[in-house]
Amino acid sequence: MHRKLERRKDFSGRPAGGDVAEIGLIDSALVRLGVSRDCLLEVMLDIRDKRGSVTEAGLLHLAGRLRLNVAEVYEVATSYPAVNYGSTESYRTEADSCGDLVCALLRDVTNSQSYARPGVCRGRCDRASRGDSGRVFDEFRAAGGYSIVEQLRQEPLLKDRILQDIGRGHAVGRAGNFFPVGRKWQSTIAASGKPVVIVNANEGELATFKDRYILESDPHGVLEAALVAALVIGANQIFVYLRDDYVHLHTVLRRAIDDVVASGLADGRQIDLRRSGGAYICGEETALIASLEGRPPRPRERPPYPTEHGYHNRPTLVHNVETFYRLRGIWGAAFEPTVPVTGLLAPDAALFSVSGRVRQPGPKLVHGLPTLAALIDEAGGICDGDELGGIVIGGAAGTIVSAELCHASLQDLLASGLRLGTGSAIVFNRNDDTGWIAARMAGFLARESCGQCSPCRVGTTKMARALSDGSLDNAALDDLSVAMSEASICGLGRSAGKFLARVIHTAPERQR
Amino acid sequence: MSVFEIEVDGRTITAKFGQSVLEAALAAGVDMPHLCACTREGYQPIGTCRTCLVELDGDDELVPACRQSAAPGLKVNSDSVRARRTRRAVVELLASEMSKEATQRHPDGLFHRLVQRVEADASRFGHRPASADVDRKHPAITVDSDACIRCGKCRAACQDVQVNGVIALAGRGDGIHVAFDTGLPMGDSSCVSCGECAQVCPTGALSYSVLSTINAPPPIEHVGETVCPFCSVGCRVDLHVAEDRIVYAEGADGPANHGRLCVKGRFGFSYLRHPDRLTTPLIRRDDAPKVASHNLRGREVLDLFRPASWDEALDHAARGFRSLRESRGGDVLAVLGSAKGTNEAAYVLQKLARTGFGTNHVDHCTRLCASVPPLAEATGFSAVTIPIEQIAQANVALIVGSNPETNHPVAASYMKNAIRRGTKLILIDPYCQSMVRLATLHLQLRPGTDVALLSAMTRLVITEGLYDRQFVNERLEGFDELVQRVVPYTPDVAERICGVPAAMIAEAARMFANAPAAMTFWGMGASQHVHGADNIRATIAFAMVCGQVGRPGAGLHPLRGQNNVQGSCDAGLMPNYFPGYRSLKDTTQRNDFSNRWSAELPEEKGLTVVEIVDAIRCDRIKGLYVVGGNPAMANPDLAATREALARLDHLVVQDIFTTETTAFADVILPAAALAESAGTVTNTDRIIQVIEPALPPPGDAREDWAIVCGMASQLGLPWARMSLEATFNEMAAMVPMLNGFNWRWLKNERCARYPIKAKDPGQGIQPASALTTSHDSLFATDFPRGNRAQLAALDGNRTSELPDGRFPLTLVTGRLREHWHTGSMTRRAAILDALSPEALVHINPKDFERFDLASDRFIRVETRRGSVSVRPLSDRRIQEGVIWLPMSFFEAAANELTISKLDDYTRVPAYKFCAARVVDSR
Repeated sequence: MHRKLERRKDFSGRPAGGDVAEIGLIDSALVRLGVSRDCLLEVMLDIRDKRGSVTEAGLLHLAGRLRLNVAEVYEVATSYPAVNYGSTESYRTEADSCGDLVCALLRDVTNSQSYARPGVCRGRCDRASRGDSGRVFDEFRAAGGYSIVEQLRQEPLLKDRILQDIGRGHAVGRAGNFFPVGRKWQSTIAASGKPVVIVNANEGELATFKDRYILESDPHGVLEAALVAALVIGANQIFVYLRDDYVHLHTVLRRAIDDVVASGLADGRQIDLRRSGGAYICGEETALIASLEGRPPRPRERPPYPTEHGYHNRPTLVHNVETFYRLRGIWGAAFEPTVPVTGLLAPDAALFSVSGRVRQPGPKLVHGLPTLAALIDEAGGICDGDELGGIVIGGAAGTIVSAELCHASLQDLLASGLRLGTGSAIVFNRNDDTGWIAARMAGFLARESCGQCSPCRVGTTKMARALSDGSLDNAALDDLSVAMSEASICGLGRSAGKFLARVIHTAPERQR
Repeated sequence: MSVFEIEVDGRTITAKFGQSVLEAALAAGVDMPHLCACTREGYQPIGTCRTCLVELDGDDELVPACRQSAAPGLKVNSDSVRARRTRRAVVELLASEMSKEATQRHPDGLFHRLVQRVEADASRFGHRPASADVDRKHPAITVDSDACIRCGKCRAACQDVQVNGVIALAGRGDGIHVAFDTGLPMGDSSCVSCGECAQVCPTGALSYSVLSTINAPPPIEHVGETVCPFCSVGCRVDLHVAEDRIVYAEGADGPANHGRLCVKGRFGFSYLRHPDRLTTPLIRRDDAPKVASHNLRGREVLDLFRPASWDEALDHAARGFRSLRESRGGDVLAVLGSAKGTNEAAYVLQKLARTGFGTNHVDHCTRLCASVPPLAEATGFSAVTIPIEQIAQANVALIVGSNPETNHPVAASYMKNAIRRGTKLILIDPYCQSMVRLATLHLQLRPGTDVALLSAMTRLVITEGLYDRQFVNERLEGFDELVQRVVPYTPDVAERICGVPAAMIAEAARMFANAPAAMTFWGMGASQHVHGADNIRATIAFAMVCGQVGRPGAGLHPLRGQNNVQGSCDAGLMPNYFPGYRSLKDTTQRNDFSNRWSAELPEEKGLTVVEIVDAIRCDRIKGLYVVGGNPAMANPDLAATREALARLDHLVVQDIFTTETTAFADVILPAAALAESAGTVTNTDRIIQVIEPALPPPGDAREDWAIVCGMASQLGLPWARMSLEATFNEMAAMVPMLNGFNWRWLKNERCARYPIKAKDPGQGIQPASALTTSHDSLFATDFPRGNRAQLAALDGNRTSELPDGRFPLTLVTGRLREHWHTGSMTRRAAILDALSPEALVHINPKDFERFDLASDRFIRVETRRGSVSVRPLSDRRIQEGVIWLPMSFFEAAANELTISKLDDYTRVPAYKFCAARVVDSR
């Protein structure tokens, strides 16, 4: 018959193999951050910072303190790579080289021992030397920064004008979809509940580092715009949700926030700096919100939109760093020669992250770009001895543009449907294998899929395998592409499907 | 409710506001493909399988029908080329999630049928390699993770519906997977084995172990529906029967459970065909004397008896009672019934006692719960004022001395659903039970100090003016006395008595009083004390002065233990009332029954369960008829109980097993179990449900009511040949709360909640489908006893047996989730016994260390009445100085230890409090 259970559950309250130090750290983190599920990720990242990883005993303790089911906490702990749950190796965020597409293109990354998370693009494809310190509070203030905030506080009616100007200036989101900013703001104002403003600084797209550049150069420009947004839509809570791997920026932003709070400019509004969980999907706005609520970063179906039902069901305005920064132009901020990033304030400016086989990779601010090839000139030209093979535009689900088309008119390319996305441009040479590049791109998408919905979870995995080993025929690839683009919950899977459709379309030689 | 039309695949169907397109389509009979969506109550759309994608007129993108709200005029196409192609590809991708071997292991199931339906090629995208062995470690549920397609249904079942929170979808990307707790094997996790996950799993990744053993089960022959016997919630169960046994059980869509079950209801039915079932009448052998020290059960008992025909056995049984009545009068006869049978069985049994035996000594195990009499005293009504489901409308729920996750798990699931939607829970319990994790406030009082705590809360709402003045003025009597009584109980005084911080007491009182609607529950933790009635009176008084009665979400709900507690009491299986709680003394009432039954009826109220046993010891009772009860295990102080049972001149026991009590019987009558019976049962929510036999009783066993009628026939009673239908109709006529009911109507409706309002004088009954919540909260304007409820006097100062130097610990007894009462059924259900095979005495870790105990070494738990040998379990949920022992294990029967001191009013023994010590047997 049935074997009787030998197991006896332990109710003695002794932490099973628990480490007193870890328990202590959890308790003090809870004191600092508040005993609420919202802080779940932040507490776990805190423990990881200090101890390298979170253990099972720590997780049980945390569940007990927050009165959550163990399974709920386990779900959170295991869905964020940055928590490093149960790992015996400590989690390192400090590494310029990562082994993802750009690194792998440029050097031998087979020995990946030196990477904390092999293959995860760090957004440091430019290998920029850090140390250029950005504009600090006093400098920003002296240049007229935050005066719009003061004005808004004195003249509340000014907010109507700002709203009008945003609409008139056709400000758009810079996360790839160019959604009108004004409509988002109006929508949060119209929705019921106390609004929330979120600065999405979880830049995680493949070979993309423009937001990092903006925050490094002029963090107060972003905070100013976030404060204006909060004042205009009536939010008293601002979150700055920063990519966990951008460790150096945490200090920068911490100080920037402290300075603006100390100045009194943010009075009546709370600004919280929170870290992402080390996954690309954390930048998807509903996943981002879930992460702030202490839940796994899994996007949810829209509608309802976050502008109506976002953070704890409150109307929530999420823009990325570049979107916020460029809004400054609306209230009159302009180019300042000593601060190059302010060039972005010109309406026709575009900021590209150029990487790959160029002499000077890095963020490139351009105006009226004639061809994609011109980006290579901005980046100091192609590397010695290389001949242009093409450019990957728009990140992991982007477009592989051939050398020929790189010399075609960009206007024409855009008119025929090319999407620039977040402006990442990976330059490769004639000897680089576009099939290999496509497989690496697909690999990124598969790795970063949250895994929740079946077309994306299974589809991206099948796609990555098929693009590297040719295991599916074109009819199957076609259906795969349809399933992903038609059936996925969020943009990741949908754009993966479109990416696959382009790959099938542009690689007729694959047909066997 | 507003209804409108939508168009689905060219068909016009009606939909309701709040419905999704999928729900509307399914309700209208359009079988729209879907997978992760479950239309049962409590399931929210998951929306991740993406198989119900449809095209909407005027929308570019495909949308999941499970999440798309139906709206007037919507045009939906689920069968377009685009939707079909996408769906087929998605299903093919899902199919690739299963390993090839797992696909072969599970050739049927919801997912498999979907694959066939959409004409998908299950192998088109390959299969995952086999990676894990099938995990059979859990006794009830088999985990075949290679068959999992990660649809998330089990997670929704565990986290959102049953709110047990064991199953997670852990990890990310391709590595997302079903995990238990922190990734433990299911059998090692905190899984409570409710089986909801296996019921909804579409692939067989989680399945009932019985279905996935090597010996494939026989094909199901029929599905019989019954009501679960294991608590008062009244869940409807589908029993899947083959070859005359239950293969497995699933939740049916009953009014109280909507498809949900708990571990007992799902895995507890194998007792029905346990070899110990009694299949033939037995008569005690002449050479088998009754010995008081006999503590026998199971087959040991059979050696004392010889088989007999029904005629002989009934004759023998009836003759013993007749001769005792003739020689010494009806007053020496007593009847102990059970709350496990049907209303009809209870009704004919009390009728037999009163008309055939001429005695009012008729009682049953509801006496041992005793949570309703104080409510009847206050309101004049012996049932809940408000059903469990109304907790959804309550802002605050107060639970006093009840552990619903263990004892009423399905009710607890509705409570937890409400709490997750924002209802605040105030828990008054000395034990740190599992619902504490959901409680806003847990008042962990010292055992037995409820009155002080509730009095302090009452005092606070009065002194702070938070009480409901209008309600007090218009609807209560005894308020002034109450004010006087609670004067001494300041929060600080209560803190000293109860050990609960004064500030928390105040916070709880304010939260409850200020709530727009607050619901009050209590259980055996309140009632099973020598001052149990006072505990409950104090609870009721607190709720009443706050005006928390008589509105949706505001009312009083005692949580009882057995499936037909309500119905057995309504049917009059009590020594102090006729059916319908009608007075024994009142001449009009007595004449009414006397005329109906054509018999002279005894006038004096009879003895209660424990008093009957005491009366046997002093030879006042000489003959006893036990139907479905097991006093030799259930009563307090078992040594004394056995001694009493051995003294009887004539004992007839009617049961489905040879219980400890049968060892002292003269005649044993084999009965049908509830699942083998027809009739009606009444749940705690006042819902009467009709049941029919799901399978026949084994051997010659007969239904209880039929056996009792057979006995009546032997005694020459005129009503002995009444049909079940006639019995029900007589009961409905005699029991006021059942007025308006009749058998034929009820049988058609399957269930109905009383009281019913007679609109149409003929049938006069609201349909069962109108069991809506709005008018189910009784007493909005007055009480059955009159305009005002009574706040009863109380002191709460009686003690049963305080700890002292020799017996320094307080012993509390209770139940485990897997076992029910004396264990005679659940210990014979193989899975339940495998899940919970042993009685363990729970001890606070500090005491555990102080007494230098070891978890693998047996200790003796001793009281002044007896001792048992058990292993100890260190448990921080128990307070220091308290030990806790489950009552369901014959190997270590907790009632060897308990004290038979009774509450003055309810006559319940103090199961929850006596002095004990532990002795290391080292």
